[in-house]
Amino acid sequence: MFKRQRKAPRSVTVEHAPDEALSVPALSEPAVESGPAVGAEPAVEPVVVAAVAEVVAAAEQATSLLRLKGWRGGLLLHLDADAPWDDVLAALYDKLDAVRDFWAGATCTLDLGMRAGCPDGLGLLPAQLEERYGLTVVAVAAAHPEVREAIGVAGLEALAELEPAVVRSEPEVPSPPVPKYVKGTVRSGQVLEADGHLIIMGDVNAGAELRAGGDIMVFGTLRGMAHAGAAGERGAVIVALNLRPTQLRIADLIARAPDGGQPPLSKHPERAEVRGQEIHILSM
Amino acid sequence: MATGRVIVVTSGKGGVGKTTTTANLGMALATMGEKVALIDADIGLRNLDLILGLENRIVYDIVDVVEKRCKLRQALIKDKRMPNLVLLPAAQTRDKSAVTPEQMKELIADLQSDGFGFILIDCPAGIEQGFRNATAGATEAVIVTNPEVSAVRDADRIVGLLEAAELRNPSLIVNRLRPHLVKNETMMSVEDVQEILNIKLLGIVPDDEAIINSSNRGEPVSLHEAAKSGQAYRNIARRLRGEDVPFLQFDEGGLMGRLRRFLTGVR
Repeated sequence: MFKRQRKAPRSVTVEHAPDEALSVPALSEPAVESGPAVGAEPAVEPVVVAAVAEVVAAAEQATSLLRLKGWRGGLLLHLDADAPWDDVLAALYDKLDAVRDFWAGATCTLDLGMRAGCPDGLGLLPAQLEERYGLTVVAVAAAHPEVREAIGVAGLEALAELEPAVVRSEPEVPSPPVPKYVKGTVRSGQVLEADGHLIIMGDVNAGAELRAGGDIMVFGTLRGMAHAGAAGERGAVIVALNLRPTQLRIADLIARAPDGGQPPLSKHPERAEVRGQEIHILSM
Repeated sequence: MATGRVIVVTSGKGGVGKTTTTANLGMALATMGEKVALIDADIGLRNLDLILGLENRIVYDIVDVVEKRCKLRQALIKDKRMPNLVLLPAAQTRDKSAVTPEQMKELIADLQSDGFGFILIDCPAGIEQGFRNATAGATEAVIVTNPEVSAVRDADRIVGLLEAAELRNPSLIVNRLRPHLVKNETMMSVEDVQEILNIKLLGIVPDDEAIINSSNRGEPVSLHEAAKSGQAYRNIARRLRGEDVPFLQFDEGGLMGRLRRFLTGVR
């Protein structure tokens, strides 16, 4: 049976804060990127990504010798293939010096593009970036084989070209399944399923079933059966404005409504989550 | 070989009280010590779990069993009052085509080999696939009807269909009888119904407000000693077990009824 807890102690609430801070995008338009979610581990801290975006914008305006992009969870430095190598290097240092401490711990890929001939000091560049900025070069892309050979000697991954699709993209964060948004009453016998989160704007009647890989949110009365974390995610939660379910399931756990009628309606929305080996219901 | 009796509760017409009858007979038989299994064959419109107050315990259903997602034993819900009563619930999210008559027969054979003495099948309204599924594995039929022309007409059709399906000698339960309406001749009497259907009468259940309440609370009325309808269901269960139980006499209750009977000399 459900364990209803009138009011969670403050410390408990804080402890469970991450669960409450659900990242759910705008309801009317489920977005592709829904922020950090289950299983998605951004390789770059979100804060850094934002800052990089600013720097990138500035860099693109400042010069055509050099372009910065986010790529593979790190930086992609496009170094102009036609300009003199020294000018390109100067522009690079100039740009990196602007926020010198910012780069520490980041990784980058150098893109030499169509540059012919191996420029002097290319072999030393990774070491210099590491030393001056703490920026680790993990790969170098170059169209010409002799350039790639030189890099191979330096012990770096050498790419003939960057995959066009990847070059255009923002930092690669594996996107969680798009949340499913449904407006209206879910009636007896109807089943709604979602790989990710499931959001219902309306009531879910007894005999209806909701199944989601992630969380379930019902902006209405939940009278039917809801199964969150259906693929085994015990961290999933079920939230409803009025929680009156026949049965709740989270991952492999099942809880049923008490016999002899439901307790009086809560004045607040309620959240069901797993604590230990049981599904508990908390007032929000 | 298995000897459990397999009885389908059917009517043709909807709303005459098949599900209530199934729940109450099952409960009454269980209280008499029988090992009883109830099958809700009304896939897509399941109700029997509600009447028994077992809805919140459903994890697997009949479709899960026939599609082999679970074992039969896992889908059987033990009643919260009577451990010797189990329910095999219908699926709510599917339709009648999810089960075939052959699968029903297999399922019933499995229940029989598990030692259930009575297997009652709650048949859906209608004469389509749901009816064919529900009657497939049955060896006996109980027809529920109300004392009104449309219900009796449909019951007659069902008797014919059962005969065609080799289910002979069905017995009759006249449900929702209102004695005072029969008395002033605005309602068909049990005799009127029998004259048309001409099958063995198994029982008469009076229209009773207690049934409304008990259905809503998931407490079959046959558990209530005081209710007249509960007494009627218990009597029917005893007759099913082979006892000879006289039919209830429905007199007008209350002081006015007794006074009228006294004055008019009618018993």
